[in-house]
Amino acid sequence: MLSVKIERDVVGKYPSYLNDESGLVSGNADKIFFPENENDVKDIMKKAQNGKIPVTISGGGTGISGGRVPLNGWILATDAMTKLDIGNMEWTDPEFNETFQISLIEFNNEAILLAPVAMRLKSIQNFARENGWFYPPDPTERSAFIGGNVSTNASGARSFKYGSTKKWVVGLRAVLPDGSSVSLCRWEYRDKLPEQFFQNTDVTITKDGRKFIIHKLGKEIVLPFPTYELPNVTKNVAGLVWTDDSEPLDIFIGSNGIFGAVTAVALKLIRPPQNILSILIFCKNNIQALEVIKLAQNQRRTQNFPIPMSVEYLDDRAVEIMHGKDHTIPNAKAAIILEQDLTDDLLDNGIEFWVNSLDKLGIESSSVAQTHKEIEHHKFLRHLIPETINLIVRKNGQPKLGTDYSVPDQYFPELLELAKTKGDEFESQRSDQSRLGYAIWAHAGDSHLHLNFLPATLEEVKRAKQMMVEIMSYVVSVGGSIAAEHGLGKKKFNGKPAIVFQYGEKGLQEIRNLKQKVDPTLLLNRGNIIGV
Amino acid sequence: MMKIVVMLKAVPDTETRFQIREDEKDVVYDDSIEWIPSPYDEYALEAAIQTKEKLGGTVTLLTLGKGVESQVIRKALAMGADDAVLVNNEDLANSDPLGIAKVLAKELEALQPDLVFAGRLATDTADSFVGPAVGELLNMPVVAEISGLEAEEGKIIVTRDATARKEKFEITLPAIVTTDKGLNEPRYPKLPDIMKAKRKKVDEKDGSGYLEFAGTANRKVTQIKVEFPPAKKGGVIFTGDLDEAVEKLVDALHNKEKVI
Ligand SMILES: Cc1cc2nc3c(=O)[nH]c(=O)nc-3n(C[C@H](O)[C@H](O)[C@H](O)COP(=O)(O)OP(=O)(O)OC[C@H]3O[C@@H](n4cnc5c(N)ncnc54)[C@H](O)[C@@H]3O)c2cc1C
Repeated sequence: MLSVKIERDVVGKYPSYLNDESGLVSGNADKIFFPENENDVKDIMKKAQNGKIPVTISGGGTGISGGRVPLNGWILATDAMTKLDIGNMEWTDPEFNETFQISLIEFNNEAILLAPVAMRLKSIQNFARENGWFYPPDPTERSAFIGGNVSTNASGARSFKYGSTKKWVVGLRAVLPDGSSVSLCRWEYRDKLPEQFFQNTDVTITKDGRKFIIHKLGKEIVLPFPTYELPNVTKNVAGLVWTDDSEPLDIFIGSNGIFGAVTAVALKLIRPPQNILSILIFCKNNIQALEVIKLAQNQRRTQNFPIPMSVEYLDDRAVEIMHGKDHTIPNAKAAIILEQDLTDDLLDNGIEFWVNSLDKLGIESSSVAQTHKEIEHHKFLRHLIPETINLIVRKNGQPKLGTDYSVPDQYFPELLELAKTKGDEFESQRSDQSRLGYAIWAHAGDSHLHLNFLPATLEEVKRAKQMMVEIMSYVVSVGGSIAAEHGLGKKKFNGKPAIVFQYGEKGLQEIRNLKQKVDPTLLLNRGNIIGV
Repeated sequence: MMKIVVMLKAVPDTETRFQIREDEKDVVYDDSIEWIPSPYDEYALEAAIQTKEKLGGTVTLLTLGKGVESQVIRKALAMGADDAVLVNNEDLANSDPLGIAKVLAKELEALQPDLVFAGRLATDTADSFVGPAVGELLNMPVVAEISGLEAEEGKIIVTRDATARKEKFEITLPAIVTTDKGLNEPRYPKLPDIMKAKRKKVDEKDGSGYLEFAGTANRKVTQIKVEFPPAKKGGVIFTGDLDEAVEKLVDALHNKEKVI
């Protein structure tokens, strides 16, 4: 018997677990389990494996590609996984009044946070800040669980400078579909993590050239790296992104839970920047905005001071949403949010660089936030954009169709142009001309663009999908990624798993083979990435 | 040409989680605290800048500080104030509200302003005292907690929210008003103005001449103990669809708390 909290009436009592923020598909499930720790997860996995019952892992439910949507069977909801057995301190987040059991291991210039998977990103950030540390990844949706962030390899605006979640995960524990547990860490962190983090495991995973090998009871499961060519971009979570410097824990990062459930994470924290300026730059047109983006990308490429933390693009529609909430924001044709971190001694130099650069580009209007509170206000305004769009989506009663494409930097202006053209075309054909038809925002520093269609009829859904496929072909043709940050989840195009558009049928087959080696009857997180 | 003064105070970020000092007489003010302009003072500053933009003139900041104010003053200058007077003296800044009001009144006397703005309270001490007290000391008219303002040469018309009604007053200048939320939306500085602010004049004084009548030695109100309110019992947030959340709430009230 399982000692875990179980509920049978999922449809009646927990309907939200049948969906996520995508509104893509609505799933179905017979039971929902609320494990509290890794042992509970192991029990559930074993029982499901014996009964050949599909299991879908749920995090915070903020995903937008249907990843946690169950296609029958059981839901493994991680909500109650707030306490790490090996954690040595209790901490209560004053913002949510939620208590976590965690560990903080501090060194001179970095620290490691051992966190349970149900800790929300915002709580991670709050904890770090309260203790004089900084967790750089900043995906916009901060109510996501860290477990979800790891499984989708989430990234945010500041990934421009700091990379995606992956770069900050230095260790994790996971339970494989057969119920065996594993503990993994990055090579250089072997001696920095406490011994208990590695205890009570059933399997080990090693790497040999371009192969991962799972060792269990003398048996070996060999997982060769896929042979497809990875897109030439700075942000990509399409399928399995294994590279020469990947380590065994990377199997579980960004793979949408198809290889196992993550049960604990070890995150790297660094010292916070001494100063952060959040600069909202209001542009007269897209050309000005593109110039700012190019300049920032150039700073990063040449590693010249100053390199901003983030460079976000907002179109006129997105700016209008912010203006609606805060009238100090002018109704500009386009805006850039640039975040610049600076040490005390270089503060003035950094500001001067941007003052002079923007002056040369003829940009006159800006709004600078400097205190934590003001920066939070900028973030709030930025978050308002997808939130407002999602509200409209719900009112329209049709799914949001948004691109999540990134391209090599030199193609970004073309991608923006194409998105705008398609958006205008879509809008000119919609049934009700007063309704907002689309909005564009972009993590522009990483040449990553969200074009969001807001269809209100089935006909419009069809048209938007067609346009997305057209843009997708362009993106792939210039070496871009069709899943820069949201993951592919259960996304399909023309009836095929989206992955086919990135890596072809062969790529799909390769990932499917790997999945089958770990999960022979394809029970865990069905439908994710490979469509079955 | 209006001569406008804004009384500006730096306070700890309103989200600061304080620790209590060992002697329990105060909280700890250390490096971990981020000092911000008191939020009500930002409405004061915005009102001052708007008035200047409409009628012409200058905006001077007046701050009694204890060594942590430089960033806050620089930011206010970047927003559009022209210059600042900073009386930097920890002993004076730690005095009681009347002592503080006396120092500010003396400085204002020298500045000869037409119009003075202050926040309706500072979010750290929340006395709601200093603005009106300065008015009293200078024999100047005061209207507190305004939420609307129309400025003209020689007079201003202000609105104040009273219980279930709005009141309007016409005030002959010079005068002092304290500002409430809703008066305006304080602007954020433009990037070049942050650099320009560095070149604006901050007249820093040590204020030792005031110690005799306004320092902590003269203080009649002394804080003797700080304690936190008893910890709230951990709340629970029920998430999900409305129906689902209600279901969970009812379930918890019935089965866990056994109150219904
Ligand atoms: C308004 C809004 C803005 C967003 N902005 C961003 C953004 O800037 N960047 C970004 O990357 N994403 C963004 N997202 C998407 C979403 O927040 C991320 O994908 C997030 O990482 C999902 O986390 P979650 O805990 O909500 O996971 P869920 O939605 O619950 O699950 C996501 C996937 O992870 C799997 N999973 C969850 N927990 C585990 C676990 N413990 N072990 C194994 N698998 C697990 C699930 O099975 C599923 O496949 C946004 C979403 C919204 C609604």
